[in-house]
Amino acid sequence: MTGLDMFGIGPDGAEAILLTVQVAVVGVIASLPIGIALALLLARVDFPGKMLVDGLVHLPLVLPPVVTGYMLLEAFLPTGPIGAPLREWFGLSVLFHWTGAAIAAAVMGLPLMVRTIRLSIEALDPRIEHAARSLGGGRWHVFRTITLPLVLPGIAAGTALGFARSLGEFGATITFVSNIPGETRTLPIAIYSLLQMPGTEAEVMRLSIVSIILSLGALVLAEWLVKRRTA
Amino acid sequence: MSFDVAIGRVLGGMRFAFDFRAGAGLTAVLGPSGAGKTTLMDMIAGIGQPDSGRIAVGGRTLYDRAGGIAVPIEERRCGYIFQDGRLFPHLNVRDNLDYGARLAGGRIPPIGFDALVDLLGLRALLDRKPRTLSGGEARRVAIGRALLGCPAFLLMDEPLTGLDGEMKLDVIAMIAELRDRLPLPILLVSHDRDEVERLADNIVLVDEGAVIAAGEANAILSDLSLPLARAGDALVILKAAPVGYDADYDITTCRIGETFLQVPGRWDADPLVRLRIRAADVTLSKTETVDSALNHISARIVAAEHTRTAQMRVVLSLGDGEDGPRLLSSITRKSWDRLELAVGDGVEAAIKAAALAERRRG
Repeated sequence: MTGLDMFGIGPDGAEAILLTVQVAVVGVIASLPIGIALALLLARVDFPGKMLVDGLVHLPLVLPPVVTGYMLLEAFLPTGPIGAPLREWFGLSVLFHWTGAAIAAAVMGLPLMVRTIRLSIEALDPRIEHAARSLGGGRWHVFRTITLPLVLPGIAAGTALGFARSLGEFGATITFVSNIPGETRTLPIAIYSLLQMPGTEAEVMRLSIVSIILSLGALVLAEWLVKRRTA
Repeated sequence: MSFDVAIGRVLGGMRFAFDFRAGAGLTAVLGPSGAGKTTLMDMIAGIGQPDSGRIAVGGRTLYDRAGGIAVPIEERRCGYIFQDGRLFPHLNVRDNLDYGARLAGGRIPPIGFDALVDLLGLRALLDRKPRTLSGGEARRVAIGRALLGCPAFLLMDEPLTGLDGEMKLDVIAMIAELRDRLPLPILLVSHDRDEVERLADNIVLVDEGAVIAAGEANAILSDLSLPLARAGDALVILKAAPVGYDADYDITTCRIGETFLQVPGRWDADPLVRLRIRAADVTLSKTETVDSALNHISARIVAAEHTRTAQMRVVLSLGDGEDGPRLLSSITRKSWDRLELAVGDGVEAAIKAAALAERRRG
């Protein structure tokens, strides 16, 4: 990334920045359909065990990230409940791979995303949807033409929040997929690694500033989208 | 039968039991707030299912607990005009109007887009968003949206609430127009007697989640066992067919069975004229009289009751028999005794034609 050279950021730093954005974008995109479905489920459907699902979704928000990372590691080990079928059926492993980092980012960002989307769905008057259905719209058609457009600002805000959370992900990622340059060494992990070495203060400062700009940008975007929803 | 309903439901600790049949035209459900009118509408629309019973509209069964039928909302083809409008906030007026039309498949709406937009006066509003509309404008858009969806029947939940003066009269005239022009069963919910008297062909009285009485408007309005006929300003609706127009005097002669009424103004373009005749505008006499009242018609007394101490409320059957359309008359008890009137007597009822003129519309 030559563009970053002029800010004095070296190739290792540039690699970490790009990787961080890649991990966060993929993580958020992958978790978005799940986030919307969970938000709909929690906002609209009463079912036994709803509290449990609600609790599980929010768990990464309250657990120490190291614990979440460890749980992911156990689940995705070649012998784990998710890792085993993944390897058997697809020959895949996400361990020590950037996709693992994306999974960690998605899991950590999910609670914020679901909360935000859920609030916007709960704020939507279901009677508007009744009106659409009385005009001949089937469930899916009404969801596409009425529900989705009306909660879109909420979805966008939730996505931006999840994205901001993913950018800063550290504990779960390093526990789950370790610290491999170019593969799983995202921006926060890169900064942490540099801090272990002497004489890197300037690079740490530069990467920190990039990190601040990225996160702040995502937060400002989220704020703006929420404002637009309430306007 | 346009509406054939017999349903029960327990909702929020309240028990609802609605049982009525209504003939063609506009059926008005009249009752106080909290009587369950909207709950009834919702169940007919398919928003919320009854616990038991059966719903058929225009001969089509929409719900039948025993038969295992529950047609989903989107297949009932009800043009539901909600009390609160429920326009889609993210769509402009044009797209709101089009929403149902796009889902109607090949069906032709009862009235085309352009004709409807002009009828409802929406031309200038087409590009506006719902939040910029006034209450009356939003109501008209809601009515248009329901009609363009090619409904098989219309449900109107308090369509005049929140409208004032001129706007209210406009919407009343529009609903009357729909009622007379479209062959659709219409169910209109209201707590306002005046509204119902202007629009209803049939009336269903509800209170506390149950039907008190249901039937043709003329029969319900003249039933002394119901509060409507006993009210101080009680009136009946008569439907009359214009048979001739006298240009010299500007008076239309209208026929109800064997009875002829002279109505000021020219109405012979309409197939049917709705007359609202107040009890206070009808006087009784035993012999043929000559006075300034234009309409002297023979009728038979079928019921009479004291309303207040000095007043009698008399129910008349037009013509000689006892099965004719009903008319109400309000006279003093003193006159009743002086004329030595009794139930079963034939009398002559005088109706001031001037009173007919102002009450024809709506």
